[in-house]
Amino acid sequence: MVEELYKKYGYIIFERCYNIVRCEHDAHDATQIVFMRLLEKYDTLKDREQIVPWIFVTARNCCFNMVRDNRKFIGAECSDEIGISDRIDEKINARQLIHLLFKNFNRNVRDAVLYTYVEQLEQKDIQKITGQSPATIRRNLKKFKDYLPSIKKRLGLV
Amino acid sequence: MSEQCVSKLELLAYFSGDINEVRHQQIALHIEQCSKCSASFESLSLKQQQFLEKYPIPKVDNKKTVSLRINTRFFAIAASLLLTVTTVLYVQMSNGIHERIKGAEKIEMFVLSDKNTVEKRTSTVYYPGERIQFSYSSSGEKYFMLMSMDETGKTFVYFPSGDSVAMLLKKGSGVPLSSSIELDNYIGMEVYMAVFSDSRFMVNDVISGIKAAYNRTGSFGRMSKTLSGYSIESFLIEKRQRPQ
Repeated sequence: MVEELYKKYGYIIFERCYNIVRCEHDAHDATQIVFMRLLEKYDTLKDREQIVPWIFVTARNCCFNMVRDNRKFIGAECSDEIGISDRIDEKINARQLIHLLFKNFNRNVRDAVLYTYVEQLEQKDIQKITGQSPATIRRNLKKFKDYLPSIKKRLGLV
Repeated sequence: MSEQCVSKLELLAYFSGDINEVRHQQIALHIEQCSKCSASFESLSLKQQQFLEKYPIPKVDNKKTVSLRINTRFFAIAASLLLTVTTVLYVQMSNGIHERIKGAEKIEMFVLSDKNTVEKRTSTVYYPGERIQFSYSSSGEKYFMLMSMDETGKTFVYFPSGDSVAMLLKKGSGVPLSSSIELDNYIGMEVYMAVFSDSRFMVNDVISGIKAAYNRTGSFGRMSKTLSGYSIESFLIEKRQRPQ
C-alpha cells in the first residue's frame, strides 16, 4: 500500500511543499512528514475526493511550521516571482511572499494568498480546501494587497 | 482557463484517481479535446515521473522490512509503522524495556541496520555502528530533549544539539527528528530518554536530576519515575559486540 500511495500522492505532496518552502531539500523533508500523516489517516479518509484537499491543508500546516523554524527558511533558495495582482508590474519574490504572509497575516489571509497566488487555484477550489466563501477570499486578498506596500517597506523588501 | 476547463484541484484528483466515475469520464473527454488541460496533465505526469526517479519507492520484502535509500528513510519508517504494530504493543508492554511515565506524548525508536533496512526491533539488543532514528507524536507544542545514559553514568544529549535550553517541538504525529544517531562502541546497557515538558527547561537541570536519581536508585527503570514535572519515555537497550 505504501508504494501505491506514494506513486499516487508523492509528487502531489512534494509540489505543494515546494511551493511553500521553495527549497527542494526542505520540500522533500516536508513530503516525508506529510506522506507519513497520509499513511496514518488514509483509512479514515473515506471520501477519496477529499484526499487532495487534505494534502493541500496538511502540506500547508507542515510547511508553515517549517517556515516558522528559521533554520529551515534561511536555507531556502528561490528567485522566481509571483504576480500579486492583475497589474503585471506588481510582482514579488515567492520567498518574500511566504515571509510576508507568515509574519503579518492571520491564517485566513495566508490561505487566501497562498492558494490564489502561489498555488493559482480557482476560488471554488480554495473554498473546497479552506471553507472560505469567494467573498471572504476576495476580502482577505484585499487585506493583503492593502497592507502590502507598507509591510514590504518596513521589512526592507523594496 | 475557460469555464469548461478542469480546475487544478480537480485535475490533481483526476490524476490521483480520486474522483467519481462520471466526473472521471467527463474530465478524460475534456482532456482529449482541450490542448491546455492536456498539456497540464502531461506536465503533471512528466513531473511525477521525474520525481519518482529522483525519490524512488523502496522495495518491500516479505520480512516486513523496507529497503532504504539514504534520501528515502521515511518510507522505511512509514512501512515499519504499518507493519510492526504488534511489535509496538510488545515493546510498550514490556516492563523496563520501553517505559512510558505519563503525558500525551509518544516517541518511537527505529533502527537502520547495516543491511540497509529499517525496523522497529523486538529485542533490546543493538550493535555498535547501527543507526537509530526517533519519531515523535505530540498533541501540542512541547519542550523536548533526547539524551542517553550508560551504566557508568555518562550522559549524552542529542536534542537539542549544543543548546542549553530544551527545544520546542511542534504539534505533530509521527514526526521524525531531524537526524539519526549512530551507536558508539560502548558495550553494555544504555538508556535513551525522551523528556517532554509543557514548560521551558534547562537541559542541565534534567541531566542533573537523572544522574542523581540513577545514583540514588541504581536502576535505569526507576530513575525516570523520580523526575516530577516531566513526561518521559525511555528505551533501554543492550549494546553487544557484533557477532563474528
